[in-house]
Amino acid sequence: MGTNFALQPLNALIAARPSTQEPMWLQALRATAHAHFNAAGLPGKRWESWHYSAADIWLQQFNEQHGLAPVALGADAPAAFPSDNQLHFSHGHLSSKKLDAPITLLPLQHLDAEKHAALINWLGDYPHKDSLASLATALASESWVLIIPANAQIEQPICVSHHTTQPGAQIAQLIVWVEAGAKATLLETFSGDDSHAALQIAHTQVQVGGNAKLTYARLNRDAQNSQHLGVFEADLQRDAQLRVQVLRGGDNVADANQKQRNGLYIRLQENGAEFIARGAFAAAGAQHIDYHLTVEHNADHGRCDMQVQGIAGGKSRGVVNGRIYIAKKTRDNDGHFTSHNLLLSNDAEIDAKPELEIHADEVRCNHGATVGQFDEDQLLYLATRGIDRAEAIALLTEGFLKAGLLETGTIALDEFLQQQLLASIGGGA
Amino acid sequence: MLKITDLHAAITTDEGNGKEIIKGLNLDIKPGEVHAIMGPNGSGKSTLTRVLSGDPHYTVTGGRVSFGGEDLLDKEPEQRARDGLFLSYQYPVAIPGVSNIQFLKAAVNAQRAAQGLAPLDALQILEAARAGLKQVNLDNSFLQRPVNADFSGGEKKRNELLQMLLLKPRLCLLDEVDSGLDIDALKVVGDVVNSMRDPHRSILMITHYRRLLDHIHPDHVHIFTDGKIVASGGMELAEELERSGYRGIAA
Repeated sequence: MGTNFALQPLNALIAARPSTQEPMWLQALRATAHAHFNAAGLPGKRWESWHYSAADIWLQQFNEQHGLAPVALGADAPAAFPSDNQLHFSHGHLSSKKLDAPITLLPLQHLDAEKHAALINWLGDYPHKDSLASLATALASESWVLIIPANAQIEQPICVSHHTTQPGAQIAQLIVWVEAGAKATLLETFSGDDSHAALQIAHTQVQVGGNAKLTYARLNRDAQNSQHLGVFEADLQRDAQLRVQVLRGGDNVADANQKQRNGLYIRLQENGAEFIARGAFAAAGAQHIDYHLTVEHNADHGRCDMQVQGIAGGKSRGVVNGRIYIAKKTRDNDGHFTSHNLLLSNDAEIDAKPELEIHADEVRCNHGATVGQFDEDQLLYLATRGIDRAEAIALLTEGFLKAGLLETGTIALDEFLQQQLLASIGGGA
Repeated sequence: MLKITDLHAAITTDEGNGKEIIKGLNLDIKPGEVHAIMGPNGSGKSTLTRVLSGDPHYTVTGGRVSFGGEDLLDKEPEQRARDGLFLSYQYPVAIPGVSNIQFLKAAVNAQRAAQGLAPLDALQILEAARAGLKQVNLDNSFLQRPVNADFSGGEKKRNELLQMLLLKPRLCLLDEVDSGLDIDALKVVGDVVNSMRDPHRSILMITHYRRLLDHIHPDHVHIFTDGKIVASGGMELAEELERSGYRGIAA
């Protein structure tokens, strides 16, 4: 395929980015990321992990139609979920901030080379598998670091919203550093006004420290005509627990056309780490929804459990793929990756392909995917109770999607996420 | 209440009608009556209840069925249910992801809507369901569990009866509601069915075993072999069956 087209305008943007005020370590970080991005190129269908989503073509088309230049600050989205902890980003710029102590938010360039040495080293050493993460690191005009200090128990979910109000491209980058023994819940929401085309590259990079617990929900309710390219990377330290919910929420119009790809790259770096993921989406119209989940078991006694429930109707496309990788010489790892999917029309398509790659002997792993239609026996059973077909289908659809929901530990957040999910099938409040 | 005249039914296949299962069945059930049908495995007893419920796996190839004075066979399964016909499944269908209370609410309100009644709200349903649970001897946590998923055999049967208690049908078809139950559970089932007896409600139960009949004392007992009723009588027929077997009676 050779070099792809949008590298040139993106390189021009990176070159034009003012960075001389930044500390040396950060300039080096950005330069390394830029080099990696150029070497790897933009992801597209020729990449195995991107087989179904052509980010290179999406970017090319967006560049031709709207340009890729960053957009200035716009208006805030209304708070998605009520909490004392709110961060609002507009077009990638921090527009408002409200955080309870002891949560800290710092611009990346304000990290202290001594005080934050561990964090800076981790960022420097991180081997991004997805070149969009490198692009975000090279190009983001604002990168923010959220620090949950050691042993802090944050009760109120931290709500981070990214919102667009004008046409254009944006890059959001959030680094989350959860120190040993801390516990927090983070909701990251992506939304925009329906009036314009937006392209968003959103990079979230997380470290969950020893014995720390993070629950993370990534809610896409991007506007019509928008494209979302998300990369979520996480490293788990000893006995850390990360629980992730990914979902597509919000109302779907009949001609919904959002394109969305979220890649989750998780590394269990030390013994006893646990990763749980649940995902749910109901694609309609011409939507394209792609969840890619990769988990590396690089230590002993790790556990991962992933389940994604997908529905595709209209001419939409759903993708659920990824891989559990068990490294050599590791012991006692458990990995589970399943995806159940429903096809509602002849023109819709679902590609579900969870994979395993095992290089150790002592493992318990399984993976599986189903793509099917509504179960006629279930519909008949409901009919014999007086429930008509339309209502029976609504009930089964709701039940099917709910199986892809995580219990976050915050009941109000569970209810909010469920309502967001059900809104996409015309249910909920 | 239910009048079946010369009913014939076959398995539905892609190429038309398959093997005939019901071969000329006649049955007349009056309001308030309890009928029991006994018959050997594979005789078509269960098929009869499925046909009456409107299961598309079976095609009616002849005969008539009237329910409450109206033609039953023209109606869709949901309409039959709304008219007051209830089938307690021999093997209830699991519906993962849908909670029992959500299911009960949808069922009760679908039928209330058909009767022109206002829907019950979540609390009213919960109240009704709890009273029913007590009667079928299940605890309240049952309502939050997904419908028939990971239920034991006995729990599934009791869940069918719970639905029957809430839906208050005019005609109850109980397909082997006693199979796989221990003595205590059998008594619960018997008590629930007896509590449903009413001059305006009819019950048709399919069973292999006499022991449930000892709890319920049906008004009529029918012996069913090879797709039709071959003998009808009272409880004495069930006793005779025990002595001489199906062959003895059919002869």
